Amino acid sequence: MPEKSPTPEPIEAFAIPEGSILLDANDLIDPRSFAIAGLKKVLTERGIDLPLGPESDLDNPNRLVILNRFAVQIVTAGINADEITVPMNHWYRNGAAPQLLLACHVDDENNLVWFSGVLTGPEFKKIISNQIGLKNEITISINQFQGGIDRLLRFVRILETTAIPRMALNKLSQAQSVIEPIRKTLQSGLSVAVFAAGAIIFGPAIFRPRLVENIAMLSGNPIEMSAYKTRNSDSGVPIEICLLTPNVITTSKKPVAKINIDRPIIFPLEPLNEIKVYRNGELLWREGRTSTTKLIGLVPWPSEIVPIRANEKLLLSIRKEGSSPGEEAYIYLQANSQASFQKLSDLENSLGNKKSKWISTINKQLKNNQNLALTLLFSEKAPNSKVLDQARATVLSKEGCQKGE
Amino acid sequence: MNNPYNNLCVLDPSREGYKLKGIDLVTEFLQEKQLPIEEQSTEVDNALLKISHTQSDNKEALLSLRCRVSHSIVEKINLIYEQKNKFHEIDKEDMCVYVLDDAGESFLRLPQKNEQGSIELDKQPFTWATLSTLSINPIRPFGADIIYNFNPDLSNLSTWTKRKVNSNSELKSYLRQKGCLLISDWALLADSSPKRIKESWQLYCSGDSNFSMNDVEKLHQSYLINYKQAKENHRKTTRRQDGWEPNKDFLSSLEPTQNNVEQLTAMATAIRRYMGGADIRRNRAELNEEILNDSQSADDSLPSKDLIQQIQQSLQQFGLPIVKKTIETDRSKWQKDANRQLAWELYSQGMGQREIATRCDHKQGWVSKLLEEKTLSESIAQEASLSLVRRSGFKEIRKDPQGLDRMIDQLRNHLVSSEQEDGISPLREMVKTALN
Repeated sequence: MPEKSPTPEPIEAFAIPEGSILLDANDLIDPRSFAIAGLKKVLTERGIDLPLGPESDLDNPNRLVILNRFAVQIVTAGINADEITVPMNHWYRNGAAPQLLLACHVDDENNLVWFSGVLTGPEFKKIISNQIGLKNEITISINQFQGGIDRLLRFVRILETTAIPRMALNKLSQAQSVIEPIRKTLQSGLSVAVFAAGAIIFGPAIFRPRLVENIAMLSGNPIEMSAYKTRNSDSGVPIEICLLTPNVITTSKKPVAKINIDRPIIFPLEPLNEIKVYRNGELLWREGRTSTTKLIGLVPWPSEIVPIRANEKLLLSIRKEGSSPGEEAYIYLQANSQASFQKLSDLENSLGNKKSKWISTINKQLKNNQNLALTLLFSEKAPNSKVLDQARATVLSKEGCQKGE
Repeated sequence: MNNPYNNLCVLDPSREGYKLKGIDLVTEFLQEKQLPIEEQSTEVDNALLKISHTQSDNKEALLSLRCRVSHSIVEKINLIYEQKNKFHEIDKEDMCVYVLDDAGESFLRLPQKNEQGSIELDKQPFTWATLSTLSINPIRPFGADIIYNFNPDLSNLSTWTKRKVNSNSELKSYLRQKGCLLISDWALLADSSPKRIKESWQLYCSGDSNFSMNDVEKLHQSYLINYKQAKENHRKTTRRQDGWEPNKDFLSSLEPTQNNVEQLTAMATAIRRYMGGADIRRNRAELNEEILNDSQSADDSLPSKDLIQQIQQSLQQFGLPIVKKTIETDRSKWQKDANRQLAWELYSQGMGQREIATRCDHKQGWVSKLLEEKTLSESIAQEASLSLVRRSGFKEIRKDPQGLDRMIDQLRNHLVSSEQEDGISPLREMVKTALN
């Protein structure tokens, strides 16, 4: 029978996010004034002298901040917030919309602020593309923001002001069409000779051979169902199911797969009849083969299930094609402890759109954590990349476990 | 007989922060009253509180409550310590100093002006009557403040005590310096999205709760609306951001109306359990960093040596002064703590943060805070980029936000990658140069 997972202890104290700013002033009232004070302190501490305005109205929450001629909308939330609400009034003003959206988390009880990241106007537009309407405010996940305060400083210090348009929301698509040819020209490396050298330096081409090579060497794990008496086991032939991932570390009575992300993929290399997930003995999710669809290959973490949590133990039940009810393999998905457990979305956001980071991270994790590597490889958030496409094709072409493994 | 009502947890540096001190005066009183005192119970708490109120010159009932509260304080301190001491340099004794300041005395020594105008300590009986004359806020000892401000209609004494420890400003300040935040249940509820509320309640709702998911969502919604206004009023009245607690009016303004804070506390506890599965940003960021750094050190994720040389000049030009400045700033603290110098030296030799922490007899959090490798490499990469984009070949990158991100990330990767310079990263090399 499936086992109950231990309930995690309530968290008593939270780790201060890296890059948080402790404020000295005690007279700060609203979140905006906390954010401005934090921003000023960062600039001072780093010795960066940039004009910050509007000088006479900096604490007015209805005004955009102008930092080194970039229009920045500061949006605030609590220190532990998982979502942030963006007032939309600025985004409908053509030519006056924000160029950058800065997320600031305020802990007024501890006098502390943390800038979790930045979105450019076009990035914001892309994120809310399915929400556009004349809304007064839009709520988005804080995980959408990237790069902390460093990303803001990169942009306002180094970019030309015109690099990010100030177009109203409904006009942004036009702005994209203006930007796109410039980007294409830049990225083609044809127009500016030395920039081409830069593109080579920072490009992903050097990663290509190793990833696909390593992927090609992956092989499935045969999971023996010795604990369950089956027709075939009576005849002395053990029943096995071939899984590419998760990777089972104990193949005795209770096969266990160590998991370090909240939404791991499951990847059988042979057709299944049925796959089920249990939490605390309760069936959470079931997927079965139908007369028209085969159950084989990539099975993403089902969106209907709350993701797996640190220290939790879920039960995965797999029945291979041709088997009878009861002839199932049970695998315990044992999540790692807090210290080595990740939300997939956090990791995806850390990797951003950078192909090179995705490729190198996947490649490295193939050696350490195959499940994480394959989950990232098949992530919907992975950037378009020929290398990744090739690696996926290599995985999808695999068939069953090799004899003698 | 030892029990929480006649044994006071008092500060004791020789015993991991505290020891038990039997209070005879209370033992006799409790025997006389025949209260069932083997374990903490709401009935006994309320009975003692009632005696303290109604017989306001009675010392024993209040002293018994001070004993009982001290146990909840210690319980909370232990929980924080157990969860955080592996990474953060926290000390149980240091934490106890702020919240365990009750020595069990039966008199309060209150400062009074004498006829000559100088301050003298006036000895007053430690009773409810005396507490109610005090204009000091918060009352000392801390345990007395907890009891004096406790409202049994709104919560039980254990929960109240733990919440008061959570909001103790000195403890908060101490933990902040060590990289930890104490966040109130009320801020946590206000910070949480409906999605988080729903998921956490589905997973960790209290077993005996009759609250449906729909009620929970509705209650949270009304909490968010009313909290903002209540917090605003608190700020105006007290001129403080912290210390807000829901009162009767607030609870009755919620939907469904609440008689006490129990349901809200249960929801906050569910969130704490939910978030406990991934505490959280720091661990997450560290793990991300670890995964990414590991990836970056792979030989196939680095630019070729020829190309590295092209940007080497800019990195050297701007990197060394930044590193030198950082080390010079830190150098003033080396006399007080020689391990800081040792940590820099070990870092320059290529040692990892965990090993440095072990060698320096500190936690990894201390090393991470000292070296700030990410901030340092970002500063250098930004300065180098500012210089590079002035060159004709790199000018176009000023028009491309994604290109700029990519460039700075690669410069940072290069700085911290150990594939260069015979196994020592350029940043570590700079530290070595700056130290010599």
